[in-house]
Amino acid sequence: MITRLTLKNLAAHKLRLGLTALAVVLGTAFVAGTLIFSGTTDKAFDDLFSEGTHTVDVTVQGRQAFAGSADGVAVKPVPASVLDEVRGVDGVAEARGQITGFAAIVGRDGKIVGGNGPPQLGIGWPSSLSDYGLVTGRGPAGPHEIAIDSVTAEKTGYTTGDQVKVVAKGPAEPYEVVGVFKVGASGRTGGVTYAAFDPATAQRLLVEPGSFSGIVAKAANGVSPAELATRVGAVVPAEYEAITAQQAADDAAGGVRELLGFLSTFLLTFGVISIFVGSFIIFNTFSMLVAQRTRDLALLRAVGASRRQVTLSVMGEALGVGLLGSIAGLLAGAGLAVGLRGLFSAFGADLPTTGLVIAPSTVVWTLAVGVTVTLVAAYFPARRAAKTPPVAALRDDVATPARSLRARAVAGGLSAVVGAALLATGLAGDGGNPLALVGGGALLVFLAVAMLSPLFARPVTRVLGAPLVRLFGTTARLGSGNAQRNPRRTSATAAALMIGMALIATVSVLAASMTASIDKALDGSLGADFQVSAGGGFGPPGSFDPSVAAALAAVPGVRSATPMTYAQVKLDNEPVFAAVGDPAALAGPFGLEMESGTLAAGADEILVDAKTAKAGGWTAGSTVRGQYADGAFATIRIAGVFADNPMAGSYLMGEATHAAHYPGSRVSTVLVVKEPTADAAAVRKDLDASLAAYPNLTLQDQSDIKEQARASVGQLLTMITALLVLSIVIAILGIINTLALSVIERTREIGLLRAVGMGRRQLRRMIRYESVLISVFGALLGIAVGIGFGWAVQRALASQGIDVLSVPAAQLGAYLAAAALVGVLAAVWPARRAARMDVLRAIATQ
Amino acid sequence: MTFPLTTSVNRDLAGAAPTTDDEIRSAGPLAARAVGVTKVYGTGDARVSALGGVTLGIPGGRFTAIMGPSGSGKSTLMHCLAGLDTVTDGKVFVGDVELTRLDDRRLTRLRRDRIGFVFQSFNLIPTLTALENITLPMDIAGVRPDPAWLDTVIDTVGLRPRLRHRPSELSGGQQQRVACARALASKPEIIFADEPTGNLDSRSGAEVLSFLRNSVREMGQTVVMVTHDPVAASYADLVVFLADGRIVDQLADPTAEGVLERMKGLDR
Ligand SMILES: Nc1ncnc2c1ncn2[C@@H]1O[C@H](COP(=O)(O)OP(=O)(O)OP(=O)(O)O)[C@@H](O)[C@H]1O
Ligand SMILES: [Mg+2]
Repeated sequence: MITRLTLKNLAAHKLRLGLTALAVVLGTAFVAGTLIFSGTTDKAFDDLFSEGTHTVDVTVQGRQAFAGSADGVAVKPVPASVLDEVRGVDGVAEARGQITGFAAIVGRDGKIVGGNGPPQLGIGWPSSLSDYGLVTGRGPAGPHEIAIDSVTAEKTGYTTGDQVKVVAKGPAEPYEVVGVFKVGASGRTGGVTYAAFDPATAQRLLVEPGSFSGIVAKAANGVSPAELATRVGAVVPAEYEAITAQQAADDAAGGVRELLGFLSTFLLTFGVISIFVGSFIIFNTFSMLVAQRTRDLALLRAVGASRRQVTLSVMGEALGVGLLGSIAGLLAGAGLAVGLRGLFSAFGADLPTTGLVIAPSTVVWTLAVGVTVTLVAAYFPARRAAKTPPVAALRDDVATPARSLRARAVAGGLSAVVGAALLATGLAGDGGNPLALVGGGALLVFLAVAMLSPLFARPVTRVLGAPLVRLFGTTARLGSGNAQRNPRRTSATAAALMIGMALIATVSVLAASMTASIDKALDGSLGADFQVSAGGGFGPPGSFDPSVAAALAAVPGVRSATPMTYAQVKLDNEPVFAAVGDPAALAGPFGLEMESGTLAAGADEILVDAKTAKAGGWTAGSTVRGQYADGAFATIRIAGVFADNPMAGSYLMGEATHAAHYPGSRVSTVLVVKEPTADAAAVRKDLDASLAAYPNLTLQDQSDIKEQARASVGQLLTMITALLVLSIVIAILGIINTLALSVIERTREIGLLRAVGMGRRQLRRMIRYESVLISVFGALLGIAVGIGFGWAVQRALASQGIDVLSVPAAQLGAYLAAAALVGVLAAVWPARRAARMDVLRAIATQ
Repeated sequence: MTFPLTTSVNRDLAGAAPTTDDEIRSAGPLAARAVGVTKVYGTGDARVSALGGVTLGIPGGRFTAIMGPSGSGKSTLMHCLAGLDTVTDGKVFVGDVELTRLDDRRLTRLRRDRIGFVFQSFNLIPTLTALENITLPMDIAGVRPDPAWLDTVIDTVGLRPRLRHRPSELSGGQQQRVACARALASKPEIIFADEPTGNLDSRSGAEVLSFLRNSVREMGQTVVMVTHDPVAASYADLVVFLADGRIVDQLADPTAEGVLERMKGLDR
């Protein structure tokens, strides 16, 4: 009986439940889309990386304890003598030196092809044992010839016979394209550009003359890759290692996979937020449906249905909504995954393809999350339904008596306190998993605000509505009255918007604080007038030859040009990034001020800033156990302590240490200081001219650097806001749903208004005012919570350089205005429905 | 559903009421009139003829009651006269305006400016106070109520101490009196009331009915009331009897007994 009732109710409330299901769909689609996307991309990368393992069994390369350099590519070169040794190993059928390094093709516009996207690679031809099949022309054979990959050829229009500039270690040089080749079996490059040189040229440009970046070997019949790796490993010098091709592929894929893992966690976070927001809508819809059906439910109870049966009938509806919504979400998720892939290729990272991978776990997770959230959200209304006294069937006033808000206040207050405590612990970094603590804390705070907001929904909406009433009269008074009349409903509806708004406001406050802090830091400390660096966008900074610094120093009007880079080192087993350079030379451009010790760092010496020294209990002369990227352990001496400096960061490593333990000794930045008397514009022009042969390098002055920092903060803000817009869309659905349900609930009232002469347009306006008030209420709550969150996070990050709190009032004001617009939009459809309602039908409805 | 009315009875009773437009127009100044109005609900098997050609004049400045058995079409007729419902055939006039030719916007404005309503229940907007409910049609129209008239109306219904209360804080009788005050406050040409006392006890009902009658006697208001109750009908100046969607009789200066008598005739 209950099952049939459930099905009947589902059918009867198709539209309202449909909107609710849509909220489930949007949330689960995001989760499913992310899961499908990362599953598919993982699989595609697996395919791509294992392609090489068909033809290679063992790889020999410089030993690396961890990724040492900031650009993550520099590895100790393997000299040709090692190749000879490998060739002599019993069981090696074939061995070849592999040459890979940075080499960027200059496009027709004079800029690097591929810009700041995926790496630009140079390779020796024939590169390895894996297949790079020529499409046209021939392989490069002299110092002035190259072959390029087919994707780059197509993108640039370069073809055999063209003169093309390529920049590698040194300045750009012209080459003739003699061939176009296909990468791997598919020809896909994932956005990487390839330039192939003859082996000698490749060695000179990409590695070192007479050296390889690695050696690949193929095993003779009957020798397993693992066995071969052991045999080869036994003969090569200790600073090199021999690993199976499979492991090399896994290692290479590891980085990508880590990045993808981070990306999917990031996206999943927004999926979870969407679902959380959706749960408010589900809760609200079921609450309203139950309230509207009080009489039916009471009648059921009067004729003998048990409480359990009533609860079950409501939960059954929730199950239906959750299941349908999740299934649709799964399908929409597959579409979303395709869209995400498209988005990536639009940004130049065209990912390897494979059929969409919808893992069973993806299906299970999506359905489980969708159904569970729906059931949990519907549980409270269902329980309330069961509490309907049978006598309610006989009473005329359908509205159940207003329950006290005391229990709510207590629960909300408790949740707020616990949430704030979790948040504080997480932000302070004291707890086990700060991310989970912060997330859980924020969730509790949101719940608390949602629980507490009915307490002040009425006064706030009245105050907000007052100017509307004064301006627009009766329709506004009616709309405002409707927004005030059921504070719980108004609050639950507004809560959905509150969450999205709070997160957007948090991010805005953080971004503004970051920008303000960066401005302040740069204003205070940057002694350099110009900065030259490779690449300027996202991704690890590129590196280039230190000789560039000498060329820049020779420019008239330049006082100094100091090269520097960054390197990773382990101190007490903790990996940290250190700036690398000559401390004395960097003191000027960085504006370094020593507190103790010397402004010099010899072998196995390092400088630290005051805050780090304090945290580590170090003073000048202390020692700490460390490890460099080549695996060597050392007792590192703290040579000096400098005052906190945002440019230098926390650690400064001398060049001697870097040269000994980090291969390549390349730089990522040159800091240029001009003579005080020299004209900045003229110097800039000359510097630009001297960099003409290095299209991969960018010259920036102080304001460019600030601008860039601001732009990258802005980019991040835009991206996160865009992702949070999904939760706003769900919130809009919630407002639509609430209004539509309210309109149905108030059918008679609307009929009466129409009967006594309210026009359709006035009726629409009345509903619009209600909607605007609800959304502005939600937005206000959200912005208040967001400012609080932003403040808390800023405080937590103050020691990391975000030491200025900035609340972007104009921006937040714009969000508030946008929320009002959201209200207008959300009202369109319910208002139309209300206006179309037949007056007579409305009056006749009992 | 058919009523046990023989054709002869029907014709016999119908003789008492004017049946043509000319006849009703000759009777004096009319506030509203229906000419040959038919109303059909549904199609095919579900087809119900609620009004089967009603011609009726509502005299101005008089209290008219419409009576008849359940399902006879009373509410339908009232809705058609008040511009709440469209007719299938025939014409409806309020004053000189033919409602059947107006679009929704003009019809709404006409209801707002020239017609007042009192329903059986659910007459008031719960979010507004009694006073706000009374002035609602004028607020919607954006006109200021005439303060002297408003005072008169409020005093007549005896609601002055309750003006700031919301409907949920008022008794059923008080709510109906607020509804009556609302109907009167905008000085409409005609007030329609569908069973205004249907939900009230006899004392509250009597208050509301006296109030409606006084508004006719003392203020020259035109009131049309649908009712089941012969006592309620006896407050009217004229009772029109409806059966099976037709006007079958009318009675001037009715008494409760007289009305009951006629009703028995109809129910037979
Ligand atoms: N919306 C509708 N659809 C179909 N039939 C309707 C509709 N409204 C009324 N009817 C029918 O029209 C006829 C007249 O109905 P009406 O409501 O006018 O009667 P009434 O005289 O007011 O009855 P009561 O005294 O019970 O209120 C009835 O047979 C009714 O079933
Ligand atoms: Mg009726």
